[in-house]
Amino acid sequence: MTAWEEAIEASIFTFIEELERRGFRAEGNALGGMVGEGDAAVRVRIDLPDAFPYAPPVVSPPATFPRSWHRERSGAMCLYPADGRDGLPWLDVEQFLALVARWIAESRSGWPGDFPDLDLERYFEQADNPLVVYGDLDALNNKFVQLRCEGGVLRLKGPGSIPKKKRIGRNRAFGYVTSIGEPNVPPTNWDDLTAAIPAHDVKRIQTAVADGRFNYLIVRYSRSRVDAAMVLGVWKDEAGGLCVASVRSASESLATLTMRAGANGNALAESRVAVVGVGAIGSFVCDLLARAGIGAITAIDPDIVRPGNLIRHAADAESVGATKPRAVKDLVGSRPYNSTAVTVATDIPSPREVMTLFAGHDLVIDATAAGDATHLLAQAAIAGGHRLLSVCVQEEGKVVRVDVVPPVDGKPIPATVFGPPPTREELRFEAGCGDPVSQTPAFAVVEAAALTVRHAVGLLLGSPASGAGTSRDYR
Amino acid sequence: MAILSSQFNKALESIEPSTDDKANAPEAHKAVRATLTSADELKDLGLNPVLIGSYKRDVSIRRVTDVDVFCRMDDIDADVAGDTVLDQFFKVLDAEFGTDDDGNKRVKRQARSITVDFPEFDGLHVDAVPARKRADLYWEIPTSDGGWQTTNPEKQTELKTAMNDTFAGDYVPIVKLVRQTRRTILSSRPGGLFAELALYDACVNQKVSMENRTLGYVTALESIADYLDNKIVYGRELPDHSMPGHTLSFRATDNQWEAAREKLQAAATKARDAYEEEDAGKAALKFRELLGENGDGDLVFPMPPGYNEDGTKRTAATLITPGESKVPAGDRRFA
Repeated sequence: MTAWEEAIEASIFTFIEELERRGFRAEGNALGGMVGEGDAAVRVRIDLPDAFPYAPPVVSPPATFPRSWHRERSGAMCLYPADGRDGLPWLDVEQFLALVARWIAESRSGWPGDFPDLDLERYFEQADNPLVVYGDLDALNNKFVQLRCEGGVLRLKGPGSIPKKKRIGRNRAFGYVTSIGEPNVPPTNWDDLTAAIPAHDVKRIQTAVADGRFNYLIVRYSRSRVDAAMVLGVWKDEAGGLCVASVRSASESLATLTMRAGANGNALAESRVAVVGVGAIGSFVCDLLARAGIGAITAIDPDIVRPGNLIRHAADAESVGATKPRAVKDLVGSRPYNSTAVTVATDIPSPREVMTLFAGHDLVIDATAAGDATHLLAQAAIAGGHRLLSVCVQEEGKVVRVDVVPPVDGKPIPATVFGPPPTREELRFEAGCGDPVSQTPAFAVVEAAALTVRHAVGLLLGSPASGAGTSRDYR
Repeated sequence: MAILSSQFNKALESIEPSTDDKANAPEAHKAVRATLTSADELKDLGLNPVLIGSYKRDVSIRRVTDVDVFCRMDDIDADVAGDTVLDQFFKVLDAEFGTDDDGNKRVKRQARSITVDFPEFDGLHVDAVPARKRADLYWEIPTSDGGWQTTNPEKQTELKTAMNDTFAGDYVPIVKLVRQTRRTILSSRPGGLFAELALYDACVNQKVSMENRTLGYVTALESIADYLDNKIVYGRELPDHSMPGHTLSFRATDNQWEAAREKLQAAATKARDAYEEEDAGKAALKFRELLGENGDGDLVFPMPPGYNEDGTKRTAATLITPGESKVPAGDRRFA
């Protein structure tokens, strides 16, 4: 036995021994015993999974224990959320048993004040159907709906009656949207659902399933006043009964999608940002700004995308030959449910135009890494009372920095202290490029872009990430 | 408190009769049974032999050295003396089994039975015990003085089964552990049957804990030690639960009983100390001393994972512990 294997065995031994000292009886890696006091005590079974101690024990109340939320389909208790497993808390047996006792008490009282875990589908038999995606269901309640197969998903397209005689195409399916309100205990089958679904819906669903031309039931429900939905596959068994099984499903409503744009996504919807220079860093800056919820971006760069750019640029191979702002516009536009308008510009603003650029945007970002353009933008920002973010990588990507010009607070961050310049042998050249090709890796580019957008969002929301910017020196 | 159930399970595996034991014992029994039932000289006795003893009761431990065959004689005349039957048995068995490869006689006449050695089965022997039925449905076996002595071995098997049910399957393992401890701490008599029946009596009197198997073993030793004290101080006999109103007798000298009392008391104290020990390694060391080596010379009680042979904790035992995050970022992460 290796030391590692012995460590695992020792951990299992200690856990079982501690439970046995508290009155549990072990049979291999399964234990049985009582949790709780007096009449409220419950006999539980504790199984150690193969991944123990790095996965929590599986704790099951008796089959007769009333059904409730926070249980696996197997009947086991859901004790540790994914975000509560660091430090292997179950190995503290005292705390582990206290948690089991708390689960029992909460389960008996109906989980008051519970977090709304919107996972009703876990209580149903699971089907291996393709993912069903749906949008806003408010207008579809108590209606038949049609779904279409699009790529690897089945997408809810909207209301649609089941054609009476016409053959249904292979790429189409039909379903029904119903609601069960806020169930006290999770339903697990059709019989449970019939008690919660309005009677006229039950009748319509049964009739539709009997025709064999109806496959999906979209069940809306709420927990702790938060709305959700699940999709069930539905079919008739040989005895004529109705069966349901949960199908993987996901909402694609705007609310669901923007939920992941950051806590301030909506607040940025009216913001306008100009990005001057949309090469490697600038292209990712535009992409991340759009995904953060920025309303409008002006992408400015006279250059075109060359094959050699692709390793560091956000654009894909199809953009080769296009202007870089065009490539960025296409990239942002290809994002599902993009709401950011991208304006393409190929001319770096002249000294006489630059104030108009600042005036027309809430923030200007300099991602040119070109001395003249950066100088112009910085001096214009200072002179006009505007704010500029200037981003670059230096020393072949070993220095990543974003400067707030002028600083919101305090002094500018110190200038980068350079090492010896690269030798002639270390430089790389490419036909069509007047300057040596930077050997900055893509990960430094993405880091600089992410850092820039963090500062940009902070400035736009009035809570700057730092007064003068950030410099990261990895040398 | 130390339970160490996994280590006790492994200890029980270690003292379980070996595969050879389990193959040899029935073979030897069959050979003796076949010789007796096919002998013309014994036809009139109406022989109907059955297995009895610790092997039959599934409480024997490695190595199995003897198998008892209870030779029920359904048709024996009431006036036949015990030593006459033993003579007849001896003649038949001696004629069949004769001598071993070294010229030693394989069949020996004992006070109450005939012993047949099976050198090919690593020292195993079979005790053939003639038995006749009484009017009260008990049985009688020969005595050393030529008479008959009442016994009821098949009832003992029933009692064992019932007691094992009462203890939810823990009674038989506790008997085996106690027999192993007796074998470890006592040089000879009183034997394993005494330990088993003293334990049974303690169970009947609810002196053996059913809380867990470890405490069952500890309280079993304590109860037997208490009985031995009572026997020596007050002359208390063990009741024979297979025959209400009868008491049991075991062959042991006064010195042997006295030694047994001292050794069992020390063992009971050590077992209690081990049970109350918080350190699993120290507890395991004590249980290891009480259970000694099995018939193959292997230590019976293993140390728990993560402990050295001297009972100290190895570094490995402390590698996986709850509490502080092993990732500096801690919880509430997203990736």
